[in-house]
Amino acid sequence: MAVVSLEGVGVVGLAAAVPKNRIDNLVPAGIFTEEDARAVVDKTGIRTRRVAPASVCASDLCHLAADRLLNDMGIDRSTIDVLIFVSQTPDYRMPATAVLLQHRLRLTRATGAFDVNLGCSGFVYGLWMASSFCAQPAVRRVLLLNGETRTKAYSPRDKATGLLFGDAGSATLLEKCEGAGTSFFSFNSDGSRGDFISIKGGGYRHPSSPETLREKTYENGSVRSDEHGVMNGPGVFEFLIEEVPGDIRRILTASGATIGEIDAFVFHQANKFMNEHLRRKLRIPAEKMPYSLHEYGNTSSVSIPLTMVTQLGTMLRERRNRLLLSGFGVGLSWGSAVLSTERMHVSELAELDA
Amino acid sequence: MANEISNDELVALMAEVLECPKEELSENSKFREHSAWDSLAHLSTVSLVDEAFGVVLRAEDFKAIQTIAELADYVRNARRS
Repeated sequence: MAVVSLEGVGVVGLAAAVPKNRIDNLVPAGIFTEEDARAVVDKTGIRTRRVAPASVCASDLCHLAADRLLNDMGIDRSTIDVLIFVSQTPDYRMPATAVLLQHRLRLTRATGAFDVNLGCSGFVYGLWMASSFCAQPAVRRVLLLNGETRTKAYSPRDKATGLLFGDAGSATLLEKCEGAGTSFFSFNSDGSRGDFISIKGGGYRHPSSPETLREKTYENGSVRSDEHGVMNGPGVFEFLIEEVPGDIRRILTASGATIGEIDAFVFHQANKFMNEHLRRKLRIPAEKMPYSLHEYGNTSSVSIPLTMVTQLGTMLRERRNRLLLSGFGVGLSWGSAVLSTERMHVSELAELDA
Repeated sequence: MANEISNDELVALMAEVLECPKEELSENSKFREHSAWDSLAHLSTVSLVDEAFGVVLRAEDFKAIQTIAELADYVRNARRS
């Protein structure tokens, strides 16, 4: 898809929530030896993660983040016309979690609400959809929620993925905003590599059954069922180095911005080793690329807003910024955005104690 | 196009990946049999080959590569095509 652009809509507020329960990857647990764990932490940069208890869903983390954001900003909830929930760990197969959140967040019945099934690229896609709605004359405000409890989607006994994921939710508020100028977005998909990151069982192609739930032991000692996520790490890395630098160069060109004019490059937080490779390849200065994965792990579509809240809060509150965002992964799906933000509201990180 | 890449350059690169002295390896070394070889070493190899030579080592092709000399052949061919 060509690079698309849109004017006069801006992100005015941002909040994120994580479960209080913090796991240190270096404290030996489960199938990981101290040596295994040390190697994963050194390479991926992921030291700690937040893990939700069985009773907490992605929607609960988003609910907390959104409640805090709307209260902190003193927003009249009847002015929110559209609610978008981006997640691959919804409450139910139906109805859409966004619709349930309309009620839980006390939004009016005139709210347009829907779910979007995307992962690592989901914040960039979500921002585009939210911005497009917000550009409509009749729409006053749009609330974008990104939530994931990815720790529940993978087997804790899978050596390739057991220490990588964290749970989190975010809320992003968009409004018409003269100073926002033009926002640029690019989107890409490659379904031929759909099996690189996937959960095979439990949908309608391979419905849940005793067989899909049966745990199997693999060559490297990993244990998982067909209802757990699998990841082809080398395949994903190959995808990343082939596709993502070009996408970022394309959006820089389309937006007319140079690397020097971008205040921060906020990339999906999957693996520090991979992001550092991208950073060096694109010659992005280290101080312009924030990380949150050392504290929160890979939180899928929440990783970009969570990094903004936890690492860029002061800068986003105090001045105007030009940001380049890039999300890449499950689908395979990837996209980038260049946007300007005025001084915006950023709530303190909320912790859910359940 | 830069000068032809030597097998020795790939020996040096694999020594960096395997975090071992260069003298421990030769172009005939089967790097997968090295005690430090694992899935993370695989990612390092892909990253360093891309950075040093601008060649993306495809997972499919890489499976068949056993020795450092074969890796060097792959990189040279990829740069020609």
